[in-house]
Amino acid sequence: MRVAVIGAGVIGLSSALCIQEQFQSLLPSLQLEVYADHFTPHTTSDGAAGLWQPYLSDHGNLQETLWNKETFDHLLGQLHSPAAKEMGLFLISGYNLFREPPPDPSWKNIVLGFRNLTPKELELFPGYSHGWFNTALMLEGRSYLPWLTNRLTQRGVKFFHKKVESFQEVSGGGVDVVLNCSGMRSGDLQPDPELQPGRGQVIRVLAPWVKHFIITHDLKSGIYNSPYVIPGSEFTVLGGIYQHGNWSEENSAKDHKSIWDSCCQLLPALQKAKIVGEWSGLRPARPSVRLERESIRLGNLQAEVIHNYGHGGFGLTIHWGCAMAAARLLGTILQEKKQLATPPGPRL
Amino acid sequence: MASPKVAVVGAGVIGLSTALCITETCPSCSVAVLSDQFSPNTTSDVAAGMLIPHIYPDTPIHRQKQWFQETFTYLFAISNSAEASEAGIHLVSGWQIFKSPPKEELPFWSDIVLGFRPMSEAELQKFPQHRFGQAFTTLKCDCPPYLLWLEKRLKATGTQMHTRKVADLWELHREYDIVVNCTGMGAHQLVGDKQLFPVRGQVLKVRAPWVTQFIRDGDGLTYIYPGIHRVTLGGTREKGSWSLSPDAGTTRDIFDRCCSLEPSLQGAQDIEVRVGLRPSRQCVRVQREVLSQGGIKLPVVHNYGHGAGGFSVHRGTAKEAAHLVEECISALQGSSSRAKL
Repeated sequence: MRVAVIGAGVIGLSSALCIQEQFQSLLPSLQLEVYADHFTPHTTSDGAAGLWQPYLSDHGNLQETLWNKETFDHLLGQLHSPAAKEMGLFLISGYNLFREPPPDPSWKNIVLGFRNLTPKELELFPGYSHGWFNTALMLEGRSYLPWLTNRLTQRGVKFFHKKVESFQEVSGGGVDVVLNCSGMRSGDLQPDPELQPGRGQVIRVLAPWVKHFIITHDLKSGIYNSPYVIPGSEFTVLGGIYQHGNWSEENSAKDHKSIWDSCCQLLPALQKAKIVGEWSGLRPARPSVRLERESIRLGNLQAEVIHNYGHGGFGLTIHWGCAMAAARLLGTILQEKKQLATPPGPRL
Repeated sequence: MASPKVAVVGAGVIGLSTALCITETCPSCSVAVLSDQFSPNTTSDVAAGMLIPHIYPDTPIHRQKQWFQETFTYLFAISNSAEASEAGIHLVSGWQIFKSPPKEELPFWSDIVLGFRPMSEAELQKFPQHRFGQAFTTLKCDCPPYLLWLEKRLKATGTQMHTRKVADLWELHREYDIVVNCTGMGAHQLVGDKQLFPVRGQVLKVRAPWVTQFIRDGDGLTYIYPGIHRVTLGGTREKGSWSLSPDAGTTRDIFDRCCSLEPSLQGAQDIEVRVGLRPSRQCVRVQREVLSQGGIKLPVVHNYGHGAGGFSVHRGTAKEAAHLVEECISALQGSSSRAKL
């Protein structure tokens, strides 16, 4: 039973690990393979700051909120394990700031210690009239992806460095199930007009005195179009760019200035921070995550594809819930193929 | 008196902040800081510099609260400015946790720090051996940066710094009109204050940049305070111990206690061990005195005995000491004009 995962970002690797953990012992013949044109540290997941925080609203998509919660709870459970440091996992507190009263977020009861900001705290952020404080998690892709890769390699998962041009290319060679975790470039495998780039740019600086994340919001301009500062273990990420439909992965001088000026206005001490890098990436944006099965007829063969893409700017935030859902879909497929008597694990 | 000459003895956080306050309240004063030690070799450099007050049994609470409020307000403004990183002042959030119910549900400083509230059940799950907790955001003064920043501000006002061991305050009476005694533990010897006693503290300073939250056990013995480059792990409170040598067994014990609160510290690197003697007293001595010897008078302002709470109240006591210096100047001017009659 060969399962091919296309994509080695957080979605591909975590889906592979989840499947490996759930099925390997039940199905000794299971052979997992990961195909990708980019591996860590060159994936979109590596460029993200790594803050666990969903968008402000789930637009009624309770399924996604549940996946976010599953991810948070799973990671929280790993915090005290010896692996936490290697995973790039740690607690962080911080601020979400608004210029007008915001509705409560879908995640207010998922994070720790969620509360409104006091007037004195708001003095720190002139121009912002409302805000929240809470404790969340950081999961740094640049550590998490290598950790996932090591776990997978130890368990015999094989990695192939190639750009997959079609499902057929992978399924034709005797692969039974394909996991499409190709993020931004899913459209190359199967056109999807709903999948659009949400271009972001970030400046990386050394500002180790910043111990909190600060995310500002401009409810009219949309998510991530307002400055944010996210401290990581090696550097602090300054951002605030979200350009829907822009495919450019080149750093823009105009965006640099916009990020720099707005972040320095937010935290004047940043003017003294040393710039150590800059990066642009494409959030694989979609109105909702595509997580579903599809049977594709390829010539005289039937291929089972599980799609798991379109996680926008919340891939790290939602990844584990989606990985488990993808594993459940695989369980159903295996059951149908009479590979398993009953699928493992509790049903959701 | 055209330009009173003031000597501040001591260059820890108390000496430097007092000197700075004096230059602010008395611009005509000529101020000099005299100390045998400067940063990074002062007691202040060992401390984490967290703004969490220590309670002085014999100082009225309203006075302690005022000192803390003034200090917090002062540092809050710096933390919010472009100078924050140079001054080493930054906000840090975290938890104070208790195994048994704390004596006071609401400490006197709970409305001064930011966002003070009880910890939620979910937050307490991180600490299975503790049953109560307080969450809040406060300020931290990293040393050496803060002391170096104070020194820089002082030099900009023309204040002279002299490396010099003062064995007797009377050494200074010819060169200076007023002496300000900010010698911390040194006051035991210098002015023979037997009410002053050391409380030895050993700490570890480690690299663990993923630790962003402070954790303090309400017993005051175990704490994890993330600074700009290093996390301070503590600690000990050994009353009456004068030893400045690190103890290996204590190092192991501190590390173990901190790892039990924050397991990820097992991966901490570059462990440095430091020891400081908290200059402890039942009440902080902020007081004027006129020393007299063979017909010569020497006005002295004392500002020492801050124990475990130096950083938390430094600005408040510095301002009070600066006012006392002003009183000394008035007294000198009064007596000098009387002398002219």
